[in-house]
Amino acid sequence: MRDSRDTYQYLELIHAAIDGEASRDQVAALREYLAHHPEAQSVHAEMVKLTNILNQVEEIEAPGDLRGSILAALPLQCSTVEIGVRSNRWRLRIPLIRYGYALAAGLLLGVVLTGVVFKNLAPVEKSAVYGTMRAVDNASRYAVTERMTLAALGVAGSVELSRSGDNEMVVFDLNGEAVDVEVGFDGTQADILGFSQQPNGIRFFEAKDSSISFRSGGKQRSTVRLTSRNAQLPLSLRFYVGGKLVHQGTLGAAAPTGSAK
Amino acid sequence: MDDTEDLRLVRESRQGSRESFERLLIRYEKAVFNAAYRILHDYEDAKDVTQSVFLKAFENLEYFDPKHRFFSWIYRIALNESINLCKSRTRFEAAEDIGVEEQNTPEKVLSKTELSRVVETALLSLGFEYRVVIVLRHFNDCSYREMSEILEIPEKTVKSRLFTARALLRDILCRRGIL
Repeated sequence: MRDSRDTYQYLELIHAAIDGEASRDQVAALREYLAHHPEAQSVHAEMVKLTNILNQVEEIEAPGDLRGSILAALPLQCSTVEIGVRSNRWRLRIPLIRYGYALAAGLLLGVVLTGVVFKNLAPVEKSAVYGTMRAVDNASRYAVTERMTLAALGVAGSVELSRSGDNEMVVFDLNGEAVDVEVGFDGTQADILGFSQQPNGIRFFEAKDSSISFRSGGKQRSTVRLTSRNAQLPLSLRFYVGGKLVHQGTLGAAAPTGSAK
Repeated sequence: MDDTEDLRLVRESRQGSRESFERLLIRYEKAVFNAAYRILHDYEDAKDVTQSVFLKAFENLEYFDPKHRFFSWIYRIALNESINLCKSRTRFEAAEDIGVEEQNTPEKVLSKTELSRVVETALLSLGFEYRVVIVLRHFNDCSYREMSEILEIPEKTVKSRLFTARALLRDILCRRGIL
């Protein structure tokens, strides 16, 4: 019994020594044990040999394009980033409203029904308009400046950029089961005016300091309105299907691009 | 890897620094890719897993507990991603049955590349839990404590799994005439 316990103990020590996890005393004790136990010596030799073989296995170089593709697929901002946003309402997430802010939406609706006028009403569930889109928008004044067509895995359609004075309007006509779109821009040069989605209302929409994210489902038209202090406001567009980046491009830059991935 | 530096980069990434996250990516990209490749034995799958690991890490940085090591956390994500991919691929279930050609030949002298291929195939013959400990110990140079942290199992279990994994691997390589 004692022998088998010793054997197990030294077997454990053999592995620990090979893994560099044994103390100096333990290594010395192991050496002593091995000197008197040829069967333990052979186990030790086999393990050393196995370790040497494993150490010879070649390390694989990560693919050259891996880092670039990871960086390209990163959301514009980490989820935890707390950058000062111009207005807190832009941080609101539509699904949260659906569940947690239903009461607030109801109260606001009540206020509207009593005829009290508020500026910049918070959106209600299934709203098709977010922000000041309905009040200010006058699409006929906008002139189309650029257009991008989309034919990627899981999403097809087009994106149109138009401009009227300081205002920019980006219209996404997308067809795909669940397409997540990110619009990135220089937050110091632009403000978000509004967002709308038709038909079926807004499924998911989130605005941050320098990006807008939304989800488009089925055949939907999504419209983003921005006011810009710069006539050339580049917008970086990313389209994700099932969490994977399927298309990205830029609108509004001096040399417009739209590359399929 | 320097834990303090990792924590600094994580903190900066949380504050919105993409450059800091890129630094973390540079530090761990190769290790994560290699771990995924050894576990999955498929270049493209390893690439997908690595991409998904870093995207998940970026999206979930707020949940990272600085009491732990960043590399333990990211390896943990890598293992979960690899497990998920394994589950979704029936061929990996069959992989356990891949018969390692038995050759009771004398020890072979193989080139490094050939040897790597033989070891990779042998690894694939091991059950997932045994493959993972070999990968973490021998290819990612993790200590027992680190493995215990990554795998969320006691150190004692790490040791016993490693013993068994090595014994199984030794038998396979013996049959292939490598040991």
